[in-house]
Amino acid sequence: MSAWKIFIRGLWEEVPVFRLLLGLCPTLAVTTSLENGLGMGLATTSVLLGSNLVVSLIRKFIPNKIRIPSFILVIASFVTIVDLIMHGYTPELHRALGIFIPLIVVNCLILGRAEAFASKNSLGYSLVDALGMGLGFTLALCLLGGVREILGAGSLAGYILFPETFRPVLILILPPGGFIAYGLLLAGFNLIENRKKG
Amino acid sequence: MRELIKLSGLLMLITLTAATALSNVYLLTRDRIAAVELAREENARKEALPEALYFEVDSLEGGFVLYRGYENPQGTGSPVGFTVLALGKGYSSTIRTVVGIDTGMTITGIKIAFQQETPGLGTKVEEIKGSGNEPWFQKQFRGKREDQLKVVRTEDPEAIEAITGATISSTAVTKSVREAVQKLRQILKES
Repeated sequence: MSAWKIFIRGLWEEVPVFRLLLGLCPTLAVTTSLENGLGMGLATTSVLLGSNLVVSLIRKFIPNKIRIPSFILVIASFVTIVDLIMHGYTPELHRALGIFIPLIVVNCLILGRAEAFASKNSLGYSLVDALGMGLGFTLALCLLGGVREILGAGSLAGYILFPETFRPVLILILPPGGFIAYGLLLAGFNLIENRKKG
Repeated sequence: MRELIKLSGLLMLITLTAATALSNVYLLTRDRIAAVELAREENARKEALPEALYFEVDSLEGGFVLYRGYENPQGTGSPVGFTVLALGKGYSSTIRTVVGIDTGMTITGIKIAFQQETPGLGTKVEEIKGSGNEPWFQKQFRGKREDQLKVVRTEDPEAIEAITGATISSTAVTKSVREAVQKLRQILKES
């Protein structure tokens, strides 16, 4: 498989959240706005790049029996590094995402890629995979966050879109609304995929 | 046995490497993070006591953070009020609130500086609804006196309306603000 194909795969065919149903917990919790979705997506991509890089580098030295704890050690380290950097350099976003930054550790997308790809592929391909999956995840979060923000808060990226008379569908920025919006979007993706096949 | 040693040895090696990398990043970011938090505290003081243009620290002992606020940028004259750091045991975190109190013991405003309450419920103490950029829960403290700092379920101009589904968080903040006023009163009486 070429590097390009690996990259593209993470953006559509096996996009996290809508094809690869991984990383759903932070997805639902954080997509109350476009900005939060984007921030979380980029933070997760950074961790994914770091972890795929290291896991790929040490893949030949890790015995099978301890591969999961090793991956988790690597992932947790990168999450802490990203958390510290965000606290110091993007404090507002750090504040907005709050407890969900440390929770990136349990985002099964990252462990999933380490196990399914980085531990079995070269450094170069692993980085490309991380980039594709990370960007795909970010786009998915932006889509869900954007939809929820527009309909649930009447704004996009903080800019009020509608006149005062617009009453937003408040439930969309609450947890139940997250499920509803996600389910509908997922159905949409399945529809497109079925049309392509049929 | 040999395998056990080999496996644990490798894990230990990874952990050591991770710990080294992490402590280095921590050292690199420590000062920056401290500066960020300091700036956040200063902003909180300004928002809690908007009339003051100059703050002078009065006390930092025993975890009781008290600042005097002056209208005059040079810090002369008598203070227009005080800011006190209030700590309240919330549902899942200790909520830190900066409380602005004027010389008449009326609240000029509060600013929640730190909380890690339940996302979607307790975090609503910082939620902004509608226009403006001040959280509605904190806004209602403005102009209230000590006896009005009690939590009720419905909208009440003489009390504090709780957040639906987040009574503990609402009560924690209100109680800590009330205690801050009491403590300030006591300190002023003593001096």
